[in-house]
Amino acid sequence: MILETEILPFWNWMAENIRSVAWAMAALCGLGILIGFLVGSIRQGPFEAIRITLATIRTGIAELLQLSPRRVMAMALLSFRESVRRRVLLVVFAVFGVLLMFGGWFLDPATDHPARLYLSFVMTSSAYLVILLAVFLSIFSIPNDIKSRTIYTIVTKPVRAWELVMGRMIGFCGIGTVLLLVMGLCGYGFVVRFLRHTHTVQAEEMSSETQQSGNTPGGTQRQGLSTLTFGHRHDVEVDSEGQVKVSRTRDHVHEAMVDDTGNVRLGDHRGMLLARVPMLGKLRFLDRQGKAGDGVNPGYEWKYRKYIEGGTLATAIWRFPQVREEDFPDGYLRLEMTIRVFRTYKGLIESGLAGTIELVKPAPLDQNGVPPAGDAGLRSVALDFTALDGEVYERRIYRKITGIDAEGNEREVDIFRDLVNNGELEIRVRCLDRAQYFGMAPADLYLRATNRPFWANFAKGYLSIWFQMVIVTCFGVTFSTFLNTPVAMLATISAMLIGLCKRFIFAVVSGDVPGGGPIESMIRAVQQKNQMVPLDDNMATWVIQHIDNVLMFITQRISYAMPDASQFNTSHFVAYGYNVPADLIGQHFVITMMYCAALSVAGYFLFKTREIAA
Amino acid sequence: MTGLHSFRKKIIYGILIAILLVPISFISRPASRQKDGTISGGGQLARMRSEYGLSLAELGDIDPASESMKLATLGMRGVATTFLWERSNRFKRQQDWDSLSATLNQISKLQPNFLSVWQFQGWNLAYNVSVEFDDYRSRYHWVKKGIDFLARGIQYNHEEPVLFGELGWTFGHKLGKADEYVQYRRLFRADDDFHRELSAHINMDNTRGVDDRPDNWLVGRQWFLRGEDLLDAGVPMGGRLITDMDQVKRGKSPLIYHSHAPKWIMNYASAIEQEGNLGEKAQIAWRDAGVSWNEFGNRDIATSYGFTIRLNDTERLRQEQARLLAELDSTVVGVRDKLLEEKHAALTPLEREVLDTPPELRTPEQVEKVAELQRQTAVSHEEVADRAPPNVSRTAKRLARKLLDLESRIRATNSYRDQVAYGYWKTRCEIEQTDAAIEARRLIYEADEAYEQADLEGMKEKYEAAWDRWAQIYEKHPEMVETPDAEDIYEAVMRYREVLEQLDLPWPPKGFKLNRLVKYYDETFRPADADESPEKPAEANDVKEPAPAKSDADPDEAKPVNEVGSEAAAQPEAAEAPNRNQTADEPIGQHEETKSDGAADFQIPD
Repeated sequence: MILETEILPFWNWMAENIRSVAWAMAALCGLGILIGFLVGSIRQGPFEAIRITLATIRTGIAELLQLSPRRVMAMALLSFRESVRRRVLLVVFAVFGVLLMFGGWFLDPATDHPARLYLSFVMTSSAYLVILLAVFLSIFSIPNDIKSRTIYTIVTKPVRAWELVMGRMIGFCGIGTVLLLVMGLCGYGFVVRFLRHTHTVQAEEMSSETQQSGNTPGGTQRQGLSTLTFGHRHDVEVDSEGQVKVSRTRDHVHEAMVDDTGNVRLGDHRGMLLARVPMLGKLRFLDRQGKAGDGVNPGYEWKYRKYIEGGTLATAIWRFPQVREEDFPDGYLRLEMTIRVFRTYKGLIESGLAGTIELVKPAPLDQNGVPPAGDAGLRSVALDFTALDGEVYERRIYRKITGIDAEGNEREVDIFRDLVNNGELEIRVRCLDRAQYFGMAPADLYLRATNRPFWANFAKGYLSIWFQMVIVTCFGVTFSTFLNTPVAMLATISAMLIGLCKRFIFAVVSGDVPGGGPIESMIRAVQQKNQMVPLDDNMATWVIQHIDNVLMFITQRISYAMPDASQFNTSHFVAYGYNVPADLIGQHFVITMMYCAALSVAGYFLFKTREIAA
Repeated sequence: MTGLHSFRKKIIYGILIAILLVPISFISRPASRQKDGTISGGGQLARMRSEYGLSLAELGDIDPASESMKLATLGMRGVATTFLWERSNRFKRQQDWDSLSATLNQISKLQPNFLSVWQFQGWNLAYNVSVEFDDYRSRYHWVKKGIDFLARGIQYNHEEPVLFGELGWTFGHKLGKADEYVQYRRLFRADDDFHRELSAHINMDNTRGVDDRPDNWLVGRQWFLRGEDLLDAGVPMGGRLITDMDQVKRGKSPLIYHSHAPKWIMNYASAIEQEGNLGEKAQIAWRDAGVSWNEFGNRDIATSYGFTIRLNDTERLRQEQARLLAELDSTVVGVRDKLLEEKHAALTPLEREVLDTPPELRTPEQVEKVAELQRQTAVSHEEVADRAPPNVSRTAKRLARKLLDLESRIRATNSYRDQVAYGYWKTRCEIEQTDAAIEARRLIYEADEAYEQADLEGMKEKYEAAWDRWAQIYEKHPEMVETPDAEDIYEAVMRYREVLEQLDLPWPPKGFKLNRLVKYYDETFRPADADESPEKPAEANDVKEPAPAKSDADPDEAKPVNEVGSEAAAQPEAAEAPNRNQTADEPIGQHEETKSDGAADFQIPD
């Protein structure tokens, strides 16, 4: 699984980020008040606008304190009923249904990782559709009320602006939630149904081999290849006692049994729909001299993985916190590793590269909180492995293991008692082949404690989509309080796009992405100049680049206030079979609630803008 | 009042819509079946589709998934494709191969008749993505994915010879010449499921190799033959899609395209010999290759000169040239010599001195000057005809015109022969069928086997026996020595040299018969500053795949340009030279084999 950003524990994250999130929220609120003031200034003059704005703030605070949940829920129910009446819900669901019905046409079940493909498809299409629904529902409501003058009917009732805005938000979120629930159930059924498959192995197609046990002949072992289903087969072995062993292909195995005729029947798959709980560690590197280093990049554009050189002291070290005996009740550490291999010479093509794994008792951190290169004087013997490039390598390391102390003496040690130091354990990986490289990232090696139910993980994936839907709905309602429908739609879609491209925008502004700002890029596109070719050094270029700087400055400032939509996407966790961490869900929840609150405030003042303007 | 206004507007809009429907219907009316059963007529668009062969049914299979995706993009197909292409690049950069594969699938469904996508991404999967994996089985799996991708492209584009060529190339070159060719060939032979899939498209009975299982070279050849069938049926080399519109010129040159099918049999023969199948099967394979090469020589090849040629016609054309020349000179007796004398007389003493300087003593400036003077003093057929007496003037001019035409054909034929080293491969096929060549190769193979057993004496003995056989062959065919394609023999000689060093024997040994070959290779392919130590015996595992800077002049065809007999000799492809000196320990990395653009790489060179 690719994990480019470290997932901090919830409270650590709160401590680090709450200030910046709060600033973004305050900026949104301030923006709402500012727009209200500007519109008022145009209509009434600046001094009158200041008076009205201050009065509105005062009223707003007073009305907030008088907020009635009953009236909010009444508005929410009204919005819900209106949405049902509009049948947008049915249209979106019908589109989703069509997608699922014909999804099989576009998805190749013979792909190497079918579960990833099907899960990504279902979750991505659900996310797009439900967000689209959120945009359409939220932007039409208030402008339509104003256009059809039904707003007068509402505001003459004892309903306050707060209640109207919040009620609309809750109502539309409710309808989106219902739709998402139905989509989730259908999507789950779709994935399970399409991945279900079986194989058989005919008895006459199996080869037999008599095993020798010393000088006496043992039982007969049968081997064969299963039937081809979804573009793959499994190697099947039946031992003399009728036990069936099925090879792992395309991320799964099958339960198997031998029937009366000797044919082997493979039952449903196991291993494709998982929610592994990885215990992640912090990764650091030693260089070829064994000193603290950064790992090397053999020339890849993508710098996610760092590489260590084989046949040297270069080492990758994962330091795991909180390694507890009770998390591994089976008496072994289950280690899973997905490393990449980079060869500088071909070597022997049919042999993989050799490496070693060592479990090390970690030395305490130094005064700067940095782990030292050495250990605490005890380590396990080096465990050999052959690198499976890009594939998950699983290893069970039993708790009783041969260890080596600082004097080089070997003795049996217990991982949890002797090697775990204050809950911490280090795992060190080296490459043995000279001038060959292993590449790794922090999430490439983890201890696997247990599995969570897949359905729960699937639900968590949908919860992330729900968070996105809620934020989009709040944006839509907020924009619709002071803009007409087409402009509100444009503004909501822009907010979504800015959120989606937030990192890209920052990269363009910082110059990490070459090619200049929007106008310069357009000129390059028209003139078919690539990003690295300098534009002509003349006045026009100077003007264009300065306009771009202003545009990018504004865009960057706006993007500060927008949610980073890409970080809400947890579909890759579900698709790759990893549990969505509760810490991440917690972070998303906090961000969503803060946006809801800030957008409610902004929505209230913007709605009041109309009164200010009047 | 408002209601009336609104009603009037609706009426006006309705009338405008009806008016607009007339030209739309005229333009896009579908073709209909006539009384005589033929399908014709229709609107302008239908006629244009028919004229350019652009209707989907004519291009290839109609895929409901593809059609529904096209409709779903609401005319934004190009935008969607560009977006997906960008995504595919990102997935490749991030090594997310499953997503890459899925995205390519979507692109191909959106624009199934955009050939560059099939070409570029088929290559990308087979050549670039496959090498990102360490396990050769994973690599093979991704080469197959590239092949599958191309095969799917053919389903959508039945009449595009270039795609058949791509597929034939990938089967042969990637599976048969990559670093892992030993493993790839083995995996391919055992891949029954893949064979079953292929049997839906080609006759697998014609692809069975020595062990009666399909061989990748012969499978590749079948795809080339399917492409040739299309060409023979009148489909243009550039395919139906664009040639008529004359917008994009793409596709291989006919010469190179048609050379592949016989070359793939030669490669098959060579491969089975390397695997130790040195006997009747290899002889049959070389014989078949010779027959096929000869058929290629008898094929009419369209040239960029505006006429067709046959590579086997050189001899006939030369005889015809000699006959016409004699006829012209007998018609206008003595004029040619007289003209020559006049032209020489017009030279300055200094120019005459330059011409009289023996070639080996000429300075570079003199060499240049001589070429200029030779052009200046050459007597053309027109000049001879112009001096003809009036009574034979017309005949002489007719003969001169014929000679000019004939000479341009000879030049074109020679030039095209050079491009595919026609004479070299013809002779090679003849030689390799002989018992002597088979025996010579068997001895080298046995010597290499002896190396595996560390039997140095046995190895030396076998090699020396092999050199005797090769010396006999080279004596009969001296033109086969100084050619880049004797590389395998040179490499064997280098292994022999290492054996001698290990036995503390001098190099070269007394009476060594392949000195000329070694000298040619050392001088031509080993740079002066190269490591003097001989290369280690090259295991299959250590052979570096040549960087496939894929172009029309592919490595196989472009290398040997030394033609047999009087044909001009040329240097080997520059890109090949560094690879010859590559040792197993040289850095290779997981190099990416780039292809700048699918269409651009298939530009016809002429």
